[in-house]
Parts: sequence; C-alpha cells; structure tokens
Amino acid sequence: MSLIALARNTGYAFGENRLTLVAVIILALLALCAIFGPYIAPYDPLVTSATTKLARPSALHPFGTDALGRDILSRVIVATRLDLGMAVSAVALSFVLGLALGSLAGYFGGWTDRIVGRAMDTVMAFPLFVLAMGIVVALGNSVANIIIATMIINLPFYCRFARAEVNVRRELGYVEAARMGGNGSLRVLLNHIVPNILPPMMVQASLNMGWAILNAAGLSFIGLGVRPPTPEWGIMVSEGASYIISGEWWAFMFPGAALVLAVFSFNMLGDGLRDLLDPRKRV
Amino acid sequence: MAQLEIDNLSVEFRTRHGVVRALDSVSLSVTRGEIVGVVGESGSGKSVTAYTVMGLNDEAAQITKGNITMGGIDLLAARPEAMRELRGREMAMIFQSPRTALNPIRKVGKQIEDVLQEHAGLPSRDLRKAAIAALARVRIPDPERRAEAYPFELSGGMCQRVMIAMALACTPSVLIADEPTTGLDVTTQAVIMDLIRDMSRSTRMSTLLITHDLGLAGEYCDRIAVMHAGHIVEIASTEALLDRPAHPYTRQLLAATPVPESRLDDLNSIPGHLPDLRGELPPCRFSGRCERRQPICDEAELPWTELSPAHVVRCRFPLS
Amino acid sequence: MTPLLEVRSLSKFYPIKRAGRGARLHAVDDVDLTIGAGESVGLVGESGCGKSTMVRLLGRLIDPTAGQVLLGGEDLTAITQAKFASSASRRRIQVVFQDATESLNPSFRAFQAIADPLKRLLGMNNGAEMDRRVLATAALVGLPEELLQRYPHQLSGGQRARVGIARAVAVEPSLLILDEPTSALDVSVQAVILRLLADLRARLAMSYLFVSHDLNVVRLLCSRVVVMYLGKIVEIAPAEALFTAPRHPYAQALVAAIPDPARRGEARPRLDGSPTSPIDPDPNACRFYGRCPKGADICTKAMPPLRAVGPDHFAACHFALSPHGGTDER
Repeated sequence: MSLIALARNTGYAFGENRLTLVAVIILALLALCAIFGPYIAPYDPLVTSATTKLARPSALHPFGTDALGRDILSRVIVATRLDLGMAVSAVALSFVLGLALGSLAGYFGGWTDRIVGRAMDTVMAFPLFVLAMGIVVALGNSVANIIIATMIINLPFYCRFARAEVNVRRELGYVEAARMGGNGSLRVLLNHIVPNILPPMMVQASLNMGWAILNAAGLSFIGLGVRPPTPEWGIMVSEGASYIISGEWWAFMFPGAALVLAVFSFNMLGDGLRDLLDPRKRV
Repeated sequence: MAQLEIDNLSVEFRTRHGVVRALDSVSLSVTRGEIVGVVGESGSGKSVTAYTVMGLNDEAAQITKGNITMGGIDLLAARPEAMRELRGREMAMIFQSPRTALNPIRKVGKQIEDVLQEHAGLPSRDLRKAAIAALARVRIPDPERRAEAYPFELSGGMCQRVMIAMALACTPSVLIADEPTTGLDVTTQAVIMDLIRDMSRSTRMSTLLITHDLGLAGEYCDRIAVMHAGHIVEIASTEALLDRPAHPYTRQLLAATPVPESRLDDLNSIPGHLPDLRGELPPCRFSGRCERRQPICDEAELPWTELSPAHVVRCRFPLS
Repeated sequence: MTPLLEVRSLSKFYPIKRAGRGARLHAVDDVDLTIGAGESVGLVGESGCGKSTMVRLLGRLIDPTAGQVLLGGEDLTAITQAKFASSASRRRIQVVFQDATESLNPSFRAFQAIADPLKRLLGMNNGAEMDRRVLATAALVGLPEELLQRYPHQLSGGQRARVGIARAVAVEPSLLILDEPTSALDVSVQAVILRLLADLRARLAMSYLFVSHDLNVVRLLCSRVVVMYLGKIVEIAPAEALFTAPRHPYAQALVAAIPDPARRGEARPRLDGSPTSPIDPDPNACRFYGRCPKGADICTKAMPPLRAVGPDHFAACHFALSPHGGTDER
C-alpha cells in the first residue's frame, strides 16, 4: 500500500472515529515520554528529599511527592519507558510466536495441531497471573523475566486466534487457487493466508497491550520483577497504596491514572486499527 | 378483490454513505389463490419489498410514502404488537438458505409447535399432533420421527419443507417466498415449488414469489412483476410477459435467460450497470442502459402505461 | 488419438469414524472418464454426487484413494498432490472457482492475483515480461487495465469472474476445470462471461470440464455431458441427446425438473426423497434403487455397468438398453 494511500486511509479512519484520534494522541504523548523521559522530567526521579515528603500537588510538584520526597510527575514520566517497553516487548514476542504456532497448527492440523494445542492448554490450565508469578520467581527477578513471563501467559491467546483464523480460511477458493498456482504449503500460509489474518490479529494485539501493561505492573506491584528505586507505575501504586487512608491520595492516584490512560488508549486504538488495516475498507 | 395491495411504496435507507432510494413508487397487488412472481436481479429491490410488507426491515429503513394493505388492514399504520400477531397467523414468509433460517438448537417439531402456540392458540396437549400434521401436509416422510430431528440432521430440501410447514401452520392468507429454492438442487427445487403451488391453490393463499430466475417464475406464477433498480417496470400475466414483453428491460432479461432451446450466440447480456441508488436518479432508472432512450425519458415524470387491464408497463416507449 | 485427459477407475473414499470400524464414505467410486483435446464436457449431478470431489481430484488438490489421472499420457497421480504443486505439469490443469467461495484473495490486487501463478509456475520474476503477460491476459478476458489495481471488494461480480478466469488461463493450461463459474452472477452478466469462456477455449485451444447445477448453462457450453449420482457416473451423452432423450432414470428426472415456462401448470413426475447413504454402499446394488421410479430384483443384485445405449451415449441402468426404457419425458 503506497504511502499516500496509507495517509489517506488513516485520515479516513480517524475522521470516522474521534475516539481513536484521541487515543492516538495520548499514545503519542506516552511514546514521547517513553523515548525522552529522562530529558523532559523536571526532576531527577531518584533524588530523595526528607523535607518534601508527601507534599501535596502544587506548582512546584504538579503531581506531589512520594514518601521519600521524590517528584511523582518525574517518576511517572520516566516510568513510561519501562512500562510500555515491557508490554510492547512481551506483546511483540507473543504475537510473532503465537502467530507462527497458531498458523501452522491451523493449516496443517494433525500432529502439529495436537502438540501446539496441548502446549497451550498446559499454559491455560494455570490462573495466568499466578503462572506469571511462578515464572518470575523461578527465573529470577528482572525486567527480562517479566517480559518472558508476560509473553508466555499471552501466547495461548494469539495462538488460538491465529489458529481459528487460519482454519476458517483454509478451505476458501483463493487458498485452493494459490495451491493450483504452484504455491507450496508454507508459501500459501505465509503469502496468501497470513496477510489476511494480520488485521484482526493486530486488533487483538492492541487490545492485549492493555492487559500486558497491567500484567507487568501487577507483578511489580506485588514485589516481583522490577525493584525499587526504579520508577515503574506498578511499584508506585503499591507504595502509594499505603497512604490512601491517611489522605495522601496523590501517591497512588497519578501512577494509577497513567496505567488507566495507557490501557484505555490501547483499547481505543484497537478499534481504529481494525478499520485502518482492513483491505475491504481501503479507498 | 386483492388480498395484498402495495400502493405507491417508496422506501429509503439512511446509510453512512448517503441515502439509498431502494424502492420508488412500487405498486403491486395479489388476489386470493394467486401466485405473483417478483423477478429482478441483485439490487432490484425485490427483497426490500418483501421485508417491507412483513415489517421486517432494518432500522435504517424509512418508508417515505405509500400504503400496504392486507385484507383491508393497513400494515404500515399497524403497531409493532399488531404486526407481530399478524406475522405467522395472517402472513408468513419463507427464506433462502433454509438451514440457516431455522433455529439450529431446537428440534424442528418444536419450532412448528412454537408457531402454533403463538398464533393458533392451540392447547398444549394438541400442539405435538398439530405439528406432526403440519409436517405431513408438506409430504415429509415419517413425520413423527422427523419432528425429533435438528435442522443439521436434515437435507436442504427437507429443511425448506419444514420452513414451509412452519409458514403454513396457521394457514395464512399471504405467503411471501423469498428465493425459496436458491441453493437447492434442481430436482429438489421442482418438488418444493410444486408443493408451494399446490398449497397455494388448495388454501387460496396469496403468494408472492421473489426470485431472480425468470424461468422458474415462468413455470409457477400466474402473473409476474419485473423489477429494476427499485422500480417495478412491468406487470403482466405470465403468458403476456413471456410472449409480448413491453418493457425494454423485460425483453433484455428474457433474452439473457437461458432456456432449453437457447443457443450461446443468441444469448443476450444487458449493457451498462445498475445506477447508484444514492445519487441523482433520472425518472426512469433504466434509461442509462436503454437503447430506446430519448431525452424526454430523463426529464419528465415516468408514467404507467396500461396496455391492457392486466398488463401495465412503466415506460414512455413500450415495445409493441 | 490419445485423449487429453484419461481418468481410470478413480475413487476417493473418506474414512468415517463414527459409523463403525473401517467405514468409508464413497465420495467418488470407480469413475472412468476421457476428455479429448479441445472438448468441452459438462459435469452435473445433485449435491453430494461427487462432482466437487471430482474437481479436486482432477485439479490435483487431493490424492485419490485408487485409480489414475492421465494427462496427455502422463500419470499425474504418480506423485502426491503436495509434490505436484512444484511439478512442471501443474500448469497444465487449472481451475476457475466459484465466486461465492471467496475465490479471490481479499488482500491481493487483481494484478497480483493474475501474476502469482506466473511467478510460481512459469518462473517469471516481477519483470517486464511478467507485466506484459498479465496485461495481455487481462486484455484477453476483457478486463480493463485500470481495474488491475483494484481489490476484489472494489470490483463487480462480472469483473471478479474475469479476474478468476484470467488467473487460471494466464499460464495457458490444456485443461480448464470450471466450478460453477457463473452461478453467483446476475443473468445480465452471465451471457458475456459464457461467451468469453467459449471464445477463450477456441483461442487458447483448451479443453473444459464444466461443473454446474444449472443445466441450461451446461447445455449452452458443452458438447458432452456426464451425469453423476452418489459417486458414480450414471450417464454420459452428447449434450443434445442428454437433454432430449436421457436414458438413465435419474438423468430423466433431472431434465424433467428444469423449470420450463412452456409446461406451466403441468403435473410432472417428480423425483422425491434423498439419496441413500454414501457410506459403505452395497457394491452389488444400483445406488439409485429405492428412489428410482423403476426398480426390479436385478437392481439389488448387480451394479449396472455403464453400457452403450446409442452413439457416444452410455447409461448405467438395467432398463436403459431397450429404446423405450421407461417414461420418456420429452
């Protein structure tokens, strides 16, 4: 699809759907924070200060300060890189692996399908978050392991989806025509079927992104994975939660709001993406 | 006296891409015991007509003018509850793809019982017998056993018979059959059409047969109405329509329909394509494709010409 | 003269798990057929008769359980269908699919759809030669050049039919199998496509196997017609002979069922009921027995073979030999 056509279609999709546009703007802002975080943060997120502990939001500290006197706004901004980074990495890995496994299972059936199916059933037999916890505990507390754990628990989702989508298309006329046209099985799958399932899969990926963010934040919330003093939304919510009762609401509210905003925006983006990528709606 | 009368009906659909003027001034009537065919290609508006009569249109549909009366009752003015009562009891519809039109998770006998319970007011103990009798009427062999089957266990032809049984369970006065045999084998089609015809005659039901197959309409209908792009272009008795078509579109359609005696070189295709029903439309929607077109066809209001009491055509220059 | 296509004792059985040990569904059962060079043969029968399976067998999309398919003397069934995709003979048989089955890839433009087999089967590589060939094929099927950049959903039914045909004939096959190519088209467009098909056959010297449920269309395009029932061929005849004087009772019922405005109001004998089960049918009984208006003891004792009943006319029925066998519909 040429760039001009892409731009035109994008404009069309956004014109149709204001909410998608809002979502994209928010995500663009978050992306900016992720990329330039350390440079745009007003304060050093790690610097503590005994004197300004738990200060209310003010002109000096728009989001207030936390229990160690660190500026919450700066920490929220800098944490974006970690939270989004973990989620994007996990989803990307899950997506690619799930797409591959699911497509092969859906197209070839037989033993391929059975093995992949049993593997995914095994993953899904566990309450997913508990499984993620188990994986991080087993592999060790690190960002990489959070990504791996999140990737594993999201894998069945993509795998099943890809499998179902490929299965539906396997018997269609154009697939048979592709085989008649001299395409071997793998070529049929890669060149003829997968391009058609990418749009719905990308919608799923976008919706899944929100869940992945929550997953990663959740693991940090309970103390696995990311360690303090690293700024990360989950940890910040966890730390700030103890101060709700004493009325210092800003400690958990702002990182919580960042989480909500990110998840919401990805969900909204999912809908917009579907319109954008569907070849039937192309002008 | 007509049992079903559609008078000057116009229907529009409001869509994201504009207003689609699906039907424009459609007039048609069906008397008791008559089978009238509505023949047209895709986009002609034949299904919209059927759905409008039944009150089953999409929410986006708006009836901008016209009347539909059935046995004296004004269907367009009827309240939704009244329409619900009429549907099934006084008027019934059978659809294309019978297996998908039936409830897949309910036994067919039960589905007929549902109709009887709702509309015929039979006491519960008589329902099962009445359902089996309905199946027997449509000549389903071994009806007691078949009543216990689910739609997926029955063939396409059998499912269509079940649908007919459901439709006729309360002996309605109007039956609308929307492409009832598309997708069925030709042998099954013949049996189903014979059945519809026989039931129509025996219960003096007014039947509207919607189809794209002019040959099929030719064999089973008493009169045929031809539709093009939301207009009815001609209505005549079957013999008159097939032997002396007056509208250029009808003639072209006939020339394009393969019949046993056709030869490939004689077979016609109709030039041009359907006009966009959203845009500016000339009074005659066929004029863009018509070889007899004159400037006045695009300017003045399109008249109904009566060639004989039973043969009307919507054309300024009908074929003689 | 060697016929172009020779089908010998072709069978396709599918194992069925539920109906008992070793139960098999006889989709196509011991079929013999020949198609000559430049000939147009029709294949008709009701759903479940095996014509779709025949399309897939002859198109080498599936492997037969038994039997052979020979194209110009070469045994195509010697290798599996998976290997056949890369063999040199793949280009010699092509299929035009029904539009209703989504026969065009929604994410391919028309150009790509036509170019793909050229790339895979003729080794063309996105060069000028390939472009030329695609444009030439598009012109051959009457598809205007500007439509080549469109996606299927942007094309009309007739235009999509042309793309499907172009895709199949771009590699210049010897045998073209057409599976209901016009059934999804309005009658106003059908004639053009049918004439195009007739024209192409002559120009590219192809043979056709034309599968359709619309008998009137088959009669227009085919010189010979094959009638199948429950996996077996029950009649083969020149088109005119089949439609004017069919000899097998099933073929007679089929022809009698064609809607005919000239016979309005006539009560004609109808074929009711459904076919018997295709799972492990009795090899010694006629498959049509029970549903057939005729029937005798012999029908349950011996499978009627396909026998000559006239010039180039064969029927598999014990009653078909006598010239006045049964009620003649016409």
